[in-house]
Amino acid sequence: MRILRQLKIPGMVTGLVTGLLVGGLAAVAGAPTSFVIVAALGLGIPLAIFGIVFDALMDAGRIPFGRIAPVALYGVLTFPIARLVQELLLTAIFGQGITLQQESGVLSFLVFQGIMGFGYGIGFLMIHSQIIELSAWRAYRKQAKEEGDQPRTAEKRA
Amino acid sequence: MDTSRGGAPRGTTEEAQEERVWHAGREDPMPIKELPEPPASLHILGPGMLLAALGVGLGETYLWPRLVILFGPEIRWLFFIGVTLQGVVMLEMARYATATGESIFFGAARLWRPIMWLFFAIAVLVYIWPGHVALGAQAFESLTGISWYVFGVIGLLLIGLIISFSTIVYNVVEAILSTLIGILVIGSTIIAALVGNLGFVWATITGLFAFGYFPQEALSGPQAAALFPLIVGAIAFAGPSGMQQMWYTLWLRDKGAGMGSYIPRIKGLTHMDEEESMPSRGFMFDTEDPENMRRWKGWRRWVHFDAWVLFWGITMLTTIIYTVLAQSALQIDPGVREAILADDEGATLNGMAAAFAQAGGAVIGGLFFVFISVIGWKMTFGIFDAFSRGQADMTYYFIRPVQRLGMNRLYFAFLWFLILFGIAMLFVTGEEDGPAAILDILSVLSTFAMGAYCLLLLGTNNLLLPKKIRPNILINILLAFAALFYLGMLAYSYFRFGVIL
Repeated sequence: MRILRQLKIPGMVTGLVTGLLVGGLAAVAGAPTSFVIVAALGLGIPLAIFGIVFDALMDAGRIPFGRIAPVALYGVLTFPIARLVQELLLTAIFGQGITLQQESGVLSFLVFQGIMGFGYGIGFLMIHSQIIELSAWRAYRKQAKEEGDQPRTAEKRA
Repeated sequence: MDTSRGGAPRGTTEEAQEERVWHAGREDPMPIKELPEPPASLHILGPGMLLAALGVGLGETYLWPRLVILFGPEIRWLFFIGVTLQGVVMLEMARYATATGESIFFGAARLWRPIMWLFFAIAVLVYIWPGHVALGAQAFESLTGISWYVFGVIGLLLIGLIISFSTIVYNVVEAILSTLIGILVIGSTIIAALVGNLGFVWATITGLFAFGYFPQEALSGPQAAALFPLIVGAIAFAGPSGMQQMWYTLWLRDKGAGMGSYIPRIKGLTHMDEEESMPSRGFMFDTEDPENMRRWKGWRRWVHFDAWVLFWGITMLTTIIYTVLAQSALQIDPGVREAILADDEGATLNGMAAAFAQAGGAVIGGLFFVFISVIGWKMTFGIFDAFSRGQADMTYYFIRPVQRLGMNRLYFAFLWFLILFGIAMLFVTGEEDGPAAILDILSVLSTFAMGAYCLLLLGTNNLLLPKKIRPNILINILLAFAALFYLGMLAYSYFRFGVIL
């Protein structure tokens, strides 16, 4: 568990998988391969980096574990940047991004992506918590095995 | 009726040892025990998340986008009301379950057993149809070309296998549903981020507060008889529909919330030999004891977080995202609206997917179908678990001859019946009279069940619980309003248009 934390895997995986999700499924749907790769990595890598930073901040005690508000805020701040990187990459390589050119300006693009980043943050938290909790929860369940009439407590985390 | 109801728990002396009990309704009295300590911190994983995961389903992603495409984002205020009322209902479901460790079905039996059997029957009528998995499978077929029967059957069998081989069923259900809802929230956010714009978000938010708006064409005119019931059905699908709220009490129990700590949990088929003996009724805590009341306040805080932050917050968030998506679809392809009006039931899904494909390339169109497939499966997974829990709970406690089988075996009997029946139904209904038609039938009975459980909660929480932990007058008014809201809409639809569908 400690090694897992040191490698900052939960945040990285969550971010990367999210980005790859977009590209990976595009392949199923038949988009050109080169576009799929750039779209997936263009979003996946920045989100993975932000995921690593997130874990580092959490380990340092800057972000409390499992709380919604700070993670949502983190999503609002980082998601637009990741999207912008993706759009700029696609524009540089294929001459056309996905929605950047349709927006009235970069600012309105960033504001909209920021609002969507709120949703991203919540989703990130759900999956991230699952990855981290998995082993912790199992250990707890073993320990909390019922003995006779003793009540189980719903949660262990303090 | 026992006269001690309404007062403090009454003590009765048995032999030398004093066993204190709380007399609630017609069934066995509840022994008084210590209320366990509430969790020290609030956490994102909990039964509220489960309910949100189950609640955010085809209502949010299919029925409501269909309404937004037809009537504009202003129709969303009805959703806002619906989900907020559901938040109140959830608090009250939790009140009964955490105070007694009993399901709300047991509470219904305490009032009068036929009420409980009514819900038993409704559950069978509403939930044995594999509507959700079928719709998900249809979306999967649109994406891959593989026959939806294949996906439907594999999906159903997978549910049975996962649950059968788990250690503690609740933990597996919680982990799977929480992960899938996380993926859905992230995925749909990304789709919205790739096709939407700022204007749509604003229209959505103002739409949520457009109180009183009702489209004229749904009230009068040639299409009113078709459109009004559509709105009623969608309201029933705002948040957790049908009996999902009632099942929440069973999840709370297995999570070990409040007095649920004293009740054993459902275990997987491979761990059934470890089954613990099930008490024949729930428990009550001493509401005159300050320490127990302090803990009760802690549990209420936990439940409030569950209801408002996890359930309400996540449901509203997904709604905003899907309203943005629906508006994008309409902007990109205005033909979607006509297709829906022409009564093409698959038009919403196909229209939205096609519109997104046009906007963000095949990437987005494909992703959308994948999400509908995942939602369909996730709903079926959650509903099958919950249905089996509920029916097993009622059967175990109130059909004495089968009690010796144990709660676990009954649970798996119901689960595998659902799966096998579901597979059979997939082949019987066929595609023409398929998924969407089943879903429409569900929504009528769902609406009825929702109105009925609001009335039930008024009874259980005011008549069966000690005075100190009963709901206040405001909550009672809201529950009564909710009952009127659901049953009234249904009745209006029937008397005004002659149809309840």
